[in-house]
Amino acid sequence: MGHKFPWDGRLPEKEVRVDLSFTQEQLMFRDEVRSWLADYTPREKRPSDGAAARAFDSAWQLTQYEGGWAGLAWPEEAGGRGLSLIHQLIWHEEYGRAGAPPPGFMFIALNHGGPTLIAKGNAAQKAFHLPRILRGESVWCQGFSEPGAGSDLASLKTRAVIEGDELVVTGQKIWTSYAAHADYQELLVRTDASGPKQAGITWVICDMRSPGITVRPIRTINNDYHFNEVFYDSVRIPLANVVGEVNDGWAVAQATLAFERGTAMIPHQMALSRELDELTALAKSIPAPSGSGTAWERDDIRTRIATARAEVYALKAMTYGAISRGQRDNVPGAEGAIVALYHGELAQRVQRLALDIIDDDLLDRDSARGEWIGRYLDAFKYTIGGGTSQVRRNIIAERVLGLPREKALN
Amino acid sequence: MVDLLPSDEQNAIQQELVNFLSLEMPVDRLHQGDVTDGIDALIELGWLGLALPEQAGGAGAGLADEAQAFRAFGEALVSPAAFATVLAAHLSVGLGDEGRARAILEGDARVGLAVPAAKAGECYLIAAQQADLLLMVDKGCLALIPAPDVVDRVACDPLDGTVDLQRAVLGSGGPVGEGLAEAEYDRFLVLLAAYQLGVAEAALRTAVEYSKLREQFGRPIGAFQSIKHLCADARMRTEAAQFQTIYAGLASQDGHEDARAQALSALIVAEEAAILNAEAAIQIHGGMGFTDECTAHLFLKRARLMSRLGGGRACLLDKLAALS
Repeated sequence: MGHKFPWDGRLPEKEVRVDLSFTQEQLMFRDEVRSWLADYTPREKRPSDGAAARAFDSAWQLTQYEGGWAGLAWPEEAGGRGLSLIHQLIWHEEYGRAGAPPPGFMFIALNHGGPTLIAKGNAAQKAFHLPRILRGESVWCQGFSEPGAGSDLASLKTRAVIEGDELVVTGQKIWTSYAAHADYQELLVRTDASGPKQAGITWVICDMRSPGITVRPIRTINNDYHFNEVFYDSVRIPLANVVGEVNDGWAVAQATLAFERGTAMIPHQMALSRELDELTALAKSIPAPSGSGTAWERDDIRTRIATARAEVYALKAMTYGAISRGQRDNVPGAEGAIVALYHGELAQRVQRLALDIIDDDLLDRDSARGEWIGRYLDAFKYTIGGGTSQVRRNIIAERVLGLPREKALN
Repeated sequence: MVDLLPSDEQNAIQQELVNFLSLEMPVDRLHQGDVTDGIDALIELGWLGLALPEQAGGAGAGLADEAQAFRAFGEALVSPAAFATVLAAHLSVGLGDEGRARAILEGDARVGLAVPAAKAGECYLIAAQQADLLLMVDKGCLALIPAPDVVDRVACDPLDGTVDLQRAVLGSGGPVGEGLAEAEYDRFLVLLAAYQLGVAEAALRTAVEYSKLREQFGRPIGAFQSIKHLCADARMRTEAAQFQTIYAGLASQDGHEDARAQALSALIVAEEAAILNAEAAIQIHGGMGFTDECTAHLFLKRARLMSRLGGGRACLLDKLAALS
């Protein structure tokens, strides 16, 4: 009996089906990346001190630039490589596998400042800044959040008044990582307070050496000082530093987001996977928190690790899924909030589990397994920074599922 | 090239199935006491043979395509007999018995499910009233046994009242062929995950639709963050289940080294998504959710029923841990 298939028995060709394989060219690219990283990845540990860490990050960026690996996601006309999302995926996977250091001080310049200039900057701004960023010569920081404008960023109040061909800025920013060692800042200021809050914002490049800027470090729960308060007392910034139009800064800031098409989570996913491997090995080698045998022999510990393993696999599949979406849509959808939420919550669960395992070393950060204490504390950044888990849930509910938006009270 | 989203062509095929199911087998049918399992119609249209080889009467598609079909089966709460039928056909092919595979795919040999009961030698039969063959599932071991080898059947009071359940005693007859079931275990895991993914998605859809319609305090309850966050977490779980299931299907299809771990992970996250999303759907429906006439509990009960097939969460986690 011949079946009457509703689609006439024809299945789609291989090229137009879900796929998990890499092309020959992509596999060769992977080999090239792997062998370059094997030769050039810094062997020494990244310093923890600010000035030394900046010098280290800068040198590593220059090495990548000289090797032809700077600005992989940037278009070629901006001095980048203009690589496809899959090639970027391969780079990040190999980068993580090689244990190469995070971009650190270079992060904002490469992932926020640079991309914003590429999307909205004028010729002079691009010509001056982009090559310096790619060569690792300039460090950028972000001036978005304020004490009164966190999740509700558009309510920011740091004021800028136009005087002649300058903006005069007065106010305060907060949670500014690397401010003490930065050359430039992507700064959002209030240039018009009369209309809707999103309408009167301007995006401007601020020279961090301008008179009137004071940086005050903030100690984190993890005892480090990478983020800061920044105070502006009549800081004069040339109008030529405005990116896009005055009062159009909200749209300029959104343009940066269009740059991110699913690749941002890959380094985080790689790092978490590696940490879970370490934690599994640790559980197999240390005594159980109570009783006999190793931690791994305890059912509760083992099943929590296995659960995390399944979820870390799922996180990887989700990043591949995000890249699959990115290949279709030029402007990223709100679905990006889903994988960010999943990662943040999962990263915290893994670190919580680690502290339940290290037990005897729990009190002492200098102990043999004391590094897990810092990782545990640091993991809160994944559910707070760049959008809290709660804000991400709102975004998923309203923009992915279409639930009614909550009206703002102000 | 890496792409975990179905193409337009694949979506078109999927849409055919979804359209058919929503027309012929809407979930509401289960409220109206519809006890037909729909196997004849699915066989007639060829959906159960999607990934069976052509010489056995199938269409020769891969596991990833087959998983997409099972996702639609889960959304429509298609009878577990469909799962039994497809797996039994694959097992028969694996045993070199294409004749039996063909008989199964043509509806001449009906297949039900059997899982072990607490008492040794006893088992539960699921959707097996008219079965000629039983797909026996025990903590990941699959075997086909002739239905007459199971005796002393008694009716039970089932958790999922929309699927027939009997308790019975295993006879002395052995399985039909030995040893090849292992080869189909990844497929078993991925298709079960896909079914649970479908349940999770349908439960989420029910919850979201109700959140938009139901008004309290002068606005839709979906405007409140407490409800939004329940829905957002449910959506996050379907995202994880969706991509992990597709990934696992492709990893198995392409013979990746970690295919088993990927398939176990798919079922672990998909099963959790199905159960937790259905629970959330009941909670969001409030008093209505506590009633039989609401759809939400049907998703929860089916998710729980299907979770027995994989051996339960602890069993899956043990298997995954053993691979770590």
